[in-house]
Amino acid sequence: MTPAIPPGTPIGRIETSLDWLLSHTTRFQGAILVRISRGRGLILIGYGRPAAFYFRLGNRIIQGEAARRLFAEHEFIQASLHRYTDHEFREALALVGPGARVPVPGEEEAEVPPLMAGFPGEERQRPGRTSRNRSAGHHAGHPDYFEHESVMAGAGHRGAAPLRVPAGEDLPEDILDRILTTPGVSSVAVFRDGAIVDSRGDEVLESLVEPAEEVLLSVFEVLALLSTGPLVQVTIRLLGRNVTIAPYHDGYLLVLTNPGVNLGQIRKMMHDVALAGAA
Amino acid sequence: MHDTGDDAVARAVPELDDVLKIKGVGTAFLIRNDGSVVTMAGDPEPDIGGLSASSLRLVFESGMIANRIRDGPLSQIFLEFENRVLMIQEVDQDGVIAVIARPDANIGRISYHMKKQGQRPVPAG
Repeated sequence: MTPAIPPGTPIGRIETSLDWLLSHTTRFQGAILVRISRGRGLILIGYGRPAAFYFRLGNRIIQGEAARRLFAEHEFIQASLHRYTDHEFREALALVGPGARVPVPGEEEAEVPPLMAGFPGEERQRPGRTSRNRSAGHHAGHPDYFEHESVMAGAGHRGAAPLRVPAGEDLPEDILDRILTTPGVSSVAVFRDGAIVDSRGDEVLESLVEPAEEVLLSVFEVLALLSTGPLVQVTIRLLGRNVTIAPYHDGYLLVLTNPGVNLGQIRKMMHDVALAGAA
Repeated sequence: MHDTGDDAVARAVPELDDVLKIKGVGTAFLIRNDGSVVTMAGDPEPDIGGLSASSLRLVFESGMIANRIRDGPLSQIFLEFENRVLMIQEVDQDGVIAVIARPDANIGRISYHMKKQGQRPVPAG
């Protein structure tokens, strides 16, 4: 039996990029379990500072900066966030070992060579360079850091719909038309990466994208602090308008409704949209 | 270590107790505008300091949306996750009340009691 990192408190799953993950975990301490293709890995994060990266595909192990680069090369990684106490975090750091740890950003990053193109799970070292933070090759006796994952999957998060932030191109345009015809809806848009992708209604929603993305940053901080499962929607109720933001396909829906529309109606509408999007 | 809200002593705030009686409500807390937790009731959250900071940021960022859309002021923020909801509402000018509940809790009743709390001043620290 090999040791496993602490299970911690599972707080949700997400499918997104490494950059997005790292920029949205400034108040998070814990492990992000990662799946890429048939391989599995983890990132240890101490309040916004990535402390260790580890990835395994079969018997091949890659760690440290090399694992970070591997994760960064993938547009989407399936991630499962597990919050740690200080004690659990120290325990996990000790278990992954020094090879998986990464230096403080900016100190040694420039020395790390790029990975080979077409990387399947291992890296090529630059001749003559020692590799304190990297390790590639066969590690048959390495601890299985992920053996608890099936236990965590059964801890109230089984079947949790992941919050998807992929970059697919298909946007069912009729969903915008359908939302706009809902009583009380005045405008609807889909935004992604700081810009409106498509919209319906009379109002210009471009000016709301930036503050909406700021709201989402804080929402993700809350997600990291609570055992909540993925985000379904955020509704900001103003005296004269409701503003709802909800993940949808490769971006987010932004829906404006009149103040007479209550939260129950908004929730039903967003649940219907989620069902339509999943169909 | 995170701020755990040293002054988050469970002081009696009647509306918080009323909110906690609603089925599905787990935690309610009152935050001052400086981020300190005035009072917390219900199930303890491990990082109440972090939650209060994030809640205040959400209020600030929602205010930015209110300014852009010119349909303010802010009435309430409702965050729905798969397993829990977080409702945030400004109290007077001095603070924020936040309630964590299950998604199947009676959101209308929670809103009603939060509005009642919103008509009271935040207790001094």
